[in-house]
Amino acid sequence: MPEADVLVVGGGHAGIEAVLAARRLGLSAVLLTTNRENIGEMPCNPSIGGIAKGHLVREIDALGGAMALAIDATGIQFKVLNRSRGPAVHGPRAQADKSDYRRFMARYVVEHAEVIEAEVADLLVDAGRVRGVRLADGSTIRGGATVLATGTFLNGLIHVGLRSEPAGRAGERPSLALATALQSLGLPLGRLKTGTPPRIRRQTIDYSKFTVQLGDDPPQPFSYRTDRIRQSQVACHLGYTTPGVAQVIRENLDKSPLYSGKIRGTGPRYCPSVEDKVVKFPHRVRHQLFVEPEGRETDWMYINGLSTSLPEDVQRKILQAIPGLEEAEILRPGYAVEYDFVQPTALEGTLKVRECQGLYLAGQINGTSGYEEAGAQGLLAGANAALELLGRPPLILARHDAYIGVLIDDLTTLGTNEPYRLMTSRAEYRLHLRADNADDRLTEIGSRAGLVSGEVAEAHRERRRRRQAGLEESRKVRIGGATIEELLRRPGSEAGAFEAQIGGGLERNDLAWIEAEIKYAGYLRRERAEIERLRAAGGCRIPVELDYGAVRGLSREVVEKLTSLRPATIGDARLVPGVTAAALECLMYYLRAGRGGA
Amino acid sequence: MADSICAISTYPQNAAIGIVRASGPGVLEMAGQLFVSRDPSYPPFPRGRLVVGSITLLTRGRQIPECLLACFPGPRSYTGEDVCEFQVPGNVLLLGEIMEELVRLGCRPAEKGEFTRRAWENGRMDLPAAEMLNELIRARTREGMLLAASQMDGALSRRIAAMRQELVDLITCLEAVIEFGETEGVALDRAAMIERSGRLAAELNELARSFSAVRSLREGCRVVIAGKANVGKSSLFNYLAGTPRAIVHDVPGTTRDVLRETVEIGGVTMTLHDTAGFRAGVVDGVEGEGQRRSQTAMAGCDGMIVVVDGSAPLEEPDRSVVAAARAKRSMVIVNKIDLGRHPECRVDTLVPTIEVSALVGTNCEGIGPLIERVFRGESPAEGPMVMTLRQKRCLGRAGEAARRAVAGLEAGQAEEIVAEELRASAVGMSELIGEVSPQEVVDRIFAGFCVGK
Ligand SMILES: Cc1cc2nc3c(=O)[nH]c(=O)nc-3n(C[C@H](O)[C@H](O)[C@H](O)COP(=O)(O)OP(=O)(O)OC[C@H]3O[C@@H](n4cnc5c(N)ncnc54)[C@H](O)[C@@H]3O)c2cc1C
Ligand SMILES: Nc1nc2c(ncn2[C@@H]2O[C@H](COP(=O)(O)OP(=O)(O)OP(=O)(O)O)[C@@H](O)[C@H]2O)c(=O)[nH]1
Ligand SMILES: [Mg+2]
Repeated sequence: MPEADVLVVGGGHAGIEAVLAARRLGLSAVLLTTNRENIGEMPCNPSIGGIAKGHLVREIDALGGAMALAIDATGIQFKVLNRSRGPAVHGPRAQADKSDYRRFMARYVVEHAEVIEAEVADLLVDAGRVRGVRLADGSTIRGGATVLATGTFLNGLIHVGLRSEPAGRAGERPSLALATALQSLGLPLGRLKTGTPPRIRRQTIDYSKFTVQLGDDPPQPFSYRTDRIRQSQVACHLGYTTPGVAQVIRENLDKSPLYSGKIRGTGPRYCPSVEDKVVKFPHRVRHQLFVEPEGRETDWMYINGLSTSLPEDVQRKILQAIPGLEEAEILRPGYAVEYDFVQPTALEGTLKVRECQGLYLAGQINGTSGYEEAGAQGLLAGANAALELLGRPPLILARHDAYIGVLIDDLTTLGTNEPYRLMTSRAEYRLHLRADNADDRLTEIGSRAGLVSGEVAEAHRERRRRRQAGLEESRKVRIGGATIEELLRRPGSEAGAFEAQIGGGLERNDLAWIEAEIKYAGYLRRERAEIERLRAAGGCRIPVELDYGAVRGLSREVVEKLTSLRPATIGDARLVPGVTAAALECLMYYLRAGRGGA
Repeated sequence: MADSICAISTYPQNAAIGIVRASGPGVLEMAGQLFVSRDPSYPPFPRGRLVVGSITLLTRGRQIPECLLACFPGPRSYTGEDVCEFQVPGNVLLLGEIMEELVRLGCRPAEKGEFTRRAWENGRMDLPAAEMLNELIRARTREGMLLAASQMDGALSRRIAAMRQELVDLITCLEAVIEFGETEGVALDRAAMIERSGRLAAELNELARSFSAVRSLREGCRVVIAGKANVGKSSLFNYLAGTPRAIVHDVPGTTRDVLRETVEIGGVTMTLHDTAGFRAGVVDGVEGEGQRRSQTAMAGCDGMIVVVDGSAPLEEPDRSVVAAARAKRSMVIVNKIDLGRHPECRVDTLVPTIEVSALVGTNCEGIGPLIERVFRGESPAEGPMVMTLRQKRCLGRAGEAARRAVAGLEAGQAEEIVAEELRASAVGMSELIGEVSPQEVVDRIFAGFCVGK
């Protein structure tokens, strides 16, 4: 029977990062996926990044992941969103050539790990520990730890109008057997839904009715390891829905699986279908649409903003009501997919299933939506599976370390009832958690865990020196009486304008970093003092005989958990599932104040 | 989680009745073990009704007759836990013996404010209401007591909660623009945003200001009796205090130190300060120091009673004291009218004035009503008020952050920075109503309580 240290099921964005992370830690790892060709498939929009999502990509990169490298190599339009706002909420984003992206990922994964094309049907469970998987053909593979990253495939059901069929996504079979296996493990399963817009043929669009949207020039790479983007960029196009669209939708709501009650799963509030937009925001006369090519050469065009599960003939009528799309030919209609997910409160902060040893979950299976959210979880799950086998401490990022920390903490402590999407407003330390300083925040952590090579860590130290020097320069150089630092404190000013004066050798990202450190200085001091306090507390020892029942403000559940696990330090207590930041506060206070906390 | 606690809830002094109170799991059973009801159908004891009986001191083998017991099973009780109260003859030693019995049965003597703290922890009371209760218990003035009572209905919490909701709306507007501004075409209406957060900042400010008005009601008005030397200030002070507290002598410059006496006149509580009189030309020595102290007292007080000698012409020290009094709530007493009225003793007619003789008592009965008219605080304004320094500080933080947000919006500051300020403002409000109150603040609040409440 073949065997590996870490088995990863599912070649989506989560699975890829998981198997690569396990390999970076030096273990053998196998990626099991139903279709080799579909490794790194983007089932929805052909783009990576955006606000908060772009932050995640940078963080994945700082921990040595592949997503940023892949989009840097295959992007066809790069654009930082929110340029008019401050650096903390800049959102790096890029359109991808979908098939290039897939090919890049497939090659990259094969270079670094073993891939087996197969459907996983069951888990081999022995004495409370998952020891491998059983494939659909009945054969088995043993593994020290297993990461499940099966996306939307568990009991997947796709809807186009009132027609529905079992599928993981368009044209792919769902995972039914594995869903049953998880159910019999006793995992809490729920049902969610997501949707995608129609794809239309490039030649049937009248571009004269749209506004051209160009990318940034020069394009800014995602990865710290990419020096520059070499490929040329293509244009996207901006258009609008009309009252005619709203009318078509209202007249046909009875044919919508969403509104007829056919779909039970909850959809994403933050990425609503066009029928939702029309019904929930009746006062808005029009909604934005972006026409985005799915590749440099392909005819397939993605209509961002027009996600729908109405029947195909209604979709055609909707397109007819949109200026420029009157004649559009549908290559594939929009559809909705309903699928099972595991309520992530069943997971520990390491993404390990609490009640079951050797089993980790990552990606959409945990109720999230988005490639970046999936990739981030995959990286952490793969790393933690490997670290567990190596007998090393787990990798858990705090809410003040990274958006990845915010994401996983939200999931494992709060759970979710809708597809979870990361947003910058979910972060308490937003001005500190930026795309421009992802390396400052994570390279060292990644390096200590063994995920980042010495070379990459050294390159980061060099960048840090360079930025610090730039910051100091900005305090000295004066322009018309004021230092650059003073000028940058003014609202609306940008570091890019002073590139020449601050000094050579600075990249755009360095300038963003300098700008942020100056603009947010007062706030950052506060945030970082608070973070320091939390960090210092992390090392604070908890007496072995502590009576948790006496600590005020802890729920019964938390007291039971802490009592049975007896963490040695506050830092360890943070890793106990269900222990919230507020609970830690109470504990810290109790220890500081001595008996009674009064 | 919680253990059971007990405390003597009445003032620990011999009195007609004393109350011992216990709260927590098992206290109803303890009551059953200690209390022998005259009506044999109890226990179980009825909710919230006084039961007559006696208490058995098991360790001492004695009975205390003439006791009452009231039981309140949780969660519909003061603390939200099971609560029982013993009303017994109010002897301190006896109350101590009952405490001993309860401790033997498993209770622990309560810490300061622990009953109310539990009420808050169990959601029976919000933080401002708990603070108001404390204010009510400790109120030293009638106005303070009435005010605290009027604030116990949770109006402040409701007002803050409403403002916080508005703040959350504003934050949501900003966040929507930050997350979806470009992709979904959501725009920020800066003008509306400035208007709304400006209104909020003003509202916070106004609420914070109610604190100073409240303070004089609560702590009483500080009133300084001031004037030229030898005009009869100390004589009037003694008259108002009802006791010969200050030395009265015909030598000018008798009073040196500031003397204080808290009095209630016509329902107005005030602390009267008798001060050294002023004498032209005297700046040094003991008397000079006394006059400096008079100046300090005048600067720091809430109100002034200026005394002048009606039988003599008004001269310099008189005029500057009258001038100083104009900035405050004040009145003038023209004294010594038994010696005749000097035509050149004319006082500003805008200041309420009364002519008396402290020596023979002429017209003195009119002083009280005039004091009442001049120094009665504006009766507490309608609506919620800020009663404690902690509340004021929270509001201050919330208000400052809101003002910085407005300034940022006006200066064209980026959305994420404005959002940061509004978030800070929300934290201040949440702290006020005790939602995200850091433990230490909470502890400080509860440490200010009497034990047994
Ligand atoms: C129709 C649709 C619409 C979407 N809309 C949005 C959107 O609007 N916004 C958004 O942010 N995200 C959207 N997404 C979600 C986004 O695609 C996912 O969040 C992301 O791809 C999840 O990554 P993943 O790695 O968890 O899973 P996936 O990318 O779904 O990958 C799962 C992988 O597991 C494999 N697999 C499944 N079962 C098995 C098995 N039993 N054995 C072996 N291999 C298996 C599959 O072949 C696949 O390769 C949408 C997805 C779909 C399908
Ligand atoms: N005739 C008369 N004498 C009074 C009256 N009031 C006070 N006196 C006398 O005036 C003298 C001074 O009185 P005090 O009350 O000590 O005056 P004071 O203003 O406190 O004086 P200093 O403390 O020295 O500033 C005493 O001898 C009093 O008896 C009054 O109404 N009529
Ligand atoms: Mg005197």
